Amino acid sequence: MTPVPSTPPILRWLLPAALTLWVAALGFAVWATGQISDARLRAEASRAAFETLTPEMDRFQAYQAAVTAARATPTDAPTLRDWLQRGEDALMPESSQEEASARDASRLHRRTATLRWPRIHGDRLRQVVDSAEQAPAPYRLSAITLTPGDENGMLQADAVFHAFTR
Amino acid sequence: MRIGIDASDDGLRIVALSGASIRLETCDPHASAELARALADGGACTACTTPGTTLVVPLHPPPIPPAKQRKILPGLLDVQIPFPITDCAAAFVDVDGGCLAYAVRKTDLREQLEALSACGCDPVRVVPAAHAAWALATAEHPPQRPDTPRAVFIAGTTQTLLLTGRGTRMEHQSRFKTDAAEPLRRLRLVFGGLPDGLCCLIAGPAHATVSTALASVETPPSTLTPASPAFFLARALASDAKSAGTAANADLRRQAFPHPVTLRRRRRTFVWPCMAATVCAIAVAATAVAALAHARTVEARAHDALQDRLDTLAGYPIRSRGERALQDVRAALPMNMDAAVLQHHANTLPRQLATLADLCNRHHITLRHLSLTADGLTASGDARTESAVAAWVRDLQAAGLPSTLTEPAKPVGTTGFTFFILPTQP
Repeated sequence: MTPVPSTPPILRWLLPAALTLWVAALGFAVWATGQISDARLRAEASRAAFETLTPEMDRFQAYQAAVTAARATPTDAPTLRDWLQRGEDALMPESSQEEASARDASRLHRRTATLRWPRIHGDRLRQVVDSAEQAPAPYRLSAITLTPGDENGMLQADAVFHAFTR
Repeated sequence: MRIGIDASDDGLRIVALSGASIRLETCDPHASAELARALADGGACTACTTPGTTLVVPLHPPPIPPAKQRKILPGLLDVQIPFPITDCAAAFVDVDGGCLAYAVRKTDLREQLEALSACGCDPVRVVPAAHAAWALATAEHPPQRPDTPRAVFIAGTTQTLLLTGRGTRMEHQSRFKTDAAEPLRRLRLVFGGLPDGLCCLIAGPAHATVSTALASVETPPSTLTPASPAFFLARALASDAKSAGTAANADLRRQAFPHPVTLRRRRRTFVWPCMAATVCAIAVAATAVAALAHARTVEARAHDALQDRLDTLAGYPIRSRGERALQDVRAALPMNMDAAVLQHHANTLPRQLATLADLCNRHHITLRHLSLTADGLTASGDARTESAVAAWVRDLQAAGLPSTLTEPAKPVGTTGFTFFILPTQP
């Protein structure tokens, strides 16, 4: 009978292997803990930056909504003068001029209508503004110059309206 | 079932115990197939070393903690035996007030195992015959007093083993040729005469020879003969299996030539904790991986959401990071949005005109001219008091029409003041 080693061969490598695995697992866990902490900090920083841009995002979304609405406007919508002609004669300006220009940033077309009334009552002018808003391509007041006339409530008015189309 | 194998005399004597009862006594290792299998497996078998090869050495370690005592016992034994301890298989058994060491040379033990193997036996344990026989003798016939002199004869057909001691403590082992004249002479040699109260237990196949020898003196010592004396030692070995794993374990084979059963047990005791440690390590690593993956996913989502917002606002992919990215986006945002569209969408001028009319009525302001654009209000007019103009300008500011008087309001006659305002430059 030959002497048998008192420690079985399996035990010679199993225990060191198990210990090595333990140490490796613990080391990995410690490393992973550090990585997780760093990842959380980075995620928090991203969330904070995301939140600081919320006002800008709200403005941008409103802008996009406006652009989307403008894109829905037909290109053959009537001019402001044509639109006002469909209403009362008293609303018609003495002179009007309308031009269109392309906008690079929004890729829309802007119509600019410049209207002049030598004498118009304030209430009539308000009707013009309201009527322009109702046009298929809504015209909105962009600038206005008013000079009161001699008679009560009568004004000399120069108004600029803008509308956007596709 | 526990099996004792006595190979100290001619042939084998085998006893199988089931609990405390004797199940089998035989000299034939092939008495049954079951017995042959049990002997060949050896997992339940205990054999003894040849008495002539085994040393029994009483040790007297210093009074130190048991754990330290265990460490110095081999050294103490080494100086008391005629061969190096490294060549020996040794066992140490606690006894009253000291320790009893058993030692056998590994070569002798190997020969003993080879002899047993030739008989179809591979016992898991090999203990000194003296240890097993003395333990069973004191268990079956406890001494009357702790210092009662005691002798145990295991009388073989050629050799007799004599164990002597006091109470439960064995002190000496001797071996002699089985002969009617020897027992008394050996007893006198060990005890210095025949002490009063000497109790002799006589076993072995030649027990009659010893019994006759002891009865031949004028005042013979009291003698005991156990049941089935020829199988006493085999029975003692079978009983000794109970001491495995205790402080009374005198197994000499365990360290030097471990039995496959021992190796399996040892492996189990190591393998399971190792496997448990491995499983735990894998679980720890898996948990760490899962937590890391989750954290990275959360981070990636937050980063992607931010990047998406940055790119959307800027209108092109933003490559910069951190605060610089925010600066880049805020710089790019006006170019990505048409201010005229925003102004058109807000449609603030009609509301501002209405507000302006209200404020003029409230402060009794009469405007002579006004121009209202997205840049602000330019106007001229009259007011009753200078303070009314200042209050009107403050209210305009609060209403979102920040304006500045070009110069202090000028009095016009005695009835009022005239003024001119321009949009406040940011």
